[in-house]
Amino acid sequence: MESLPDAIVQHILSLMSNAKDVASCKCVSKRWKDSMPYLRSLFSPKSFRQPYQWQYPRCHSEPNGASNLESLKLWGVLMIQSPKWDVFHRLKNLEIVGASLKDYALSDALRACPNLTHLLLLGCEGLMSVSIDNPHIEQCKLDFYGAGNCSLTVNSSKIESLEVQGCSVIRVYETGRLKNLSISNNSGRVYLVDFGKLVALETLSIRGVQWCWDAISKMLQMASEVDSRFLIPCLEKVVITVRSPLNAEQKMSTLDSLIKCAKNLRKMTIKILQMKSNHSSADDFFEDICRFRYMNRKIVSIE
Amino acid sequence: MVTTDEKGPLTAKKKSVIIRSCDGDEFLVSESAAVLSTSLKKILEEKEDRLIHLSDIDNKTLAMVIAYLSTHADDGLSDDLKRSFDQEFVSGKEFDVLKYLVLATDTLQVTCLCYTVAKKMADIMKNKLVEWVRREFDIQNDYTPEAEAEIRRLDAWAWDDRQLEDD
Repeated sequence: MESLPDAIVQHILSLMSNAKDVASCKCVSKRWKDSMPYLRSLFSPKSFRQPYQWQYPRCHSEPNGASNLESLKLWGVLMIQSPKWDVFHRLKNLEIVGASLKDYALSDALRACPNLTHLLLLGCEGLMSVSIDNPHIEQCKLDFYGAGNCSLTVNSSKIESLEVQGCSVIRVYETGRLKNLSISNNSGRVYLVDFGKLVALETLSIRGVQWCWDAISKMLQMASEVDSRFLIPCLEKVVITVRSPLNAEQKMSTLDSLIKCAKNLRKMTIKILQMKSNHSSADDFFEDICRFRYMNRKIVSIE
Repeated sequence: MVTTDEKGPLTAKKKSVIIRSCDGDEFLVSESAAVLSTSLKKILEEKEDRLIHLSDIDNKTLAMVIAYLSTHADDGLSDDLKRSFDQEFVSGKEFDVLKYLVLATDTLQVTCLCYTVAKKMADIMKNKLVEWVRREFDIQNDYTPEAEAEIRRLDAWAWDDRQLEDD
């Protein structure tokens, strides 16, 4: 049998999913090497060694490089230098899993993918400030390792789903299409959330060890402003620790919101710990809390 | 020799076409199966003749393609059944057989089967030595030893801790 026509060879090669196999096929012949630009999807396995981490994508930024690439998945890469990428016009899906990243490397990588719709960063560490300005982003899932103090800004009018873990400051201005929002922070504190109007919101999930009063009350307000029927249906028991009388008014309004939104709340325990009583407002605040308990005495208890 | 597809007597009332392989054997195929191939569809639209001669597809390959077309033209089968037929169809086939199949489906423009076969070939090529690929695809190595070494050096990450197979 004569060898297969180029077009068929390219078709077969375009269906290979492991970057290592693709790389070894480049050694088959010059003609095969030239077939590589037609790759549709690249998958880099976790066993990437550090000094070579960008070798593969770089090979593809030769003339006519991987401009047809639609999906790029990078696992376990060290991304502390900006990737030498051309622009991937067709790239819709970018996944970076278990990577060590630097802010500028990520922002340069995102800039090389102007038409990205799906972005997944899982278990990534080393990021301090992330700005996602790709205008077509629809689905975004970000999960950062570390102290949970990353600051995030998303600028895309098309964003529909956003899941964030490990950010302390989150700003999303264009939220007209945002349906699904999930914010959690396992190790750090959520200080500030700044969102546009959440008119399309269908599900909201807020989790985390520590939320700032300001952030949690703003979140609850934004969600209930949109829809007065906003409810927290599953919350039955909540323990709140109060350490200082500062911003007493805000804290009281948050407690109020919680009682209003959580229809099935059965037990709210307010722990008052190490309150500095030398502050004059402490007494007032304590009085407020007692009144609050009286108003909701079936639910609220003070420890 | 005239070979009918398995529904031969049932579809006899329906229009059928005769397809002749390069070995000269003839296959009776229902028109509904034949038109799943874009090339055959075009030929049937252009001429009245019910005999189509394919000068570059051999008996064995043509029989396989026709079995595929007849299965996919059968309205009585669910999409799930057809999908599992596709998987069954390519599994266990020699790489050489797949090469003839992918070429035939490309000529006949049977896009789905062409994809399934090409995907199977890509899967088989996983973790194979460069020498294996050259042999199976019958390709002359046109690199100088230095040039090949250079390419291997550039992509050194691809060769680390990987057991490559030669069969």
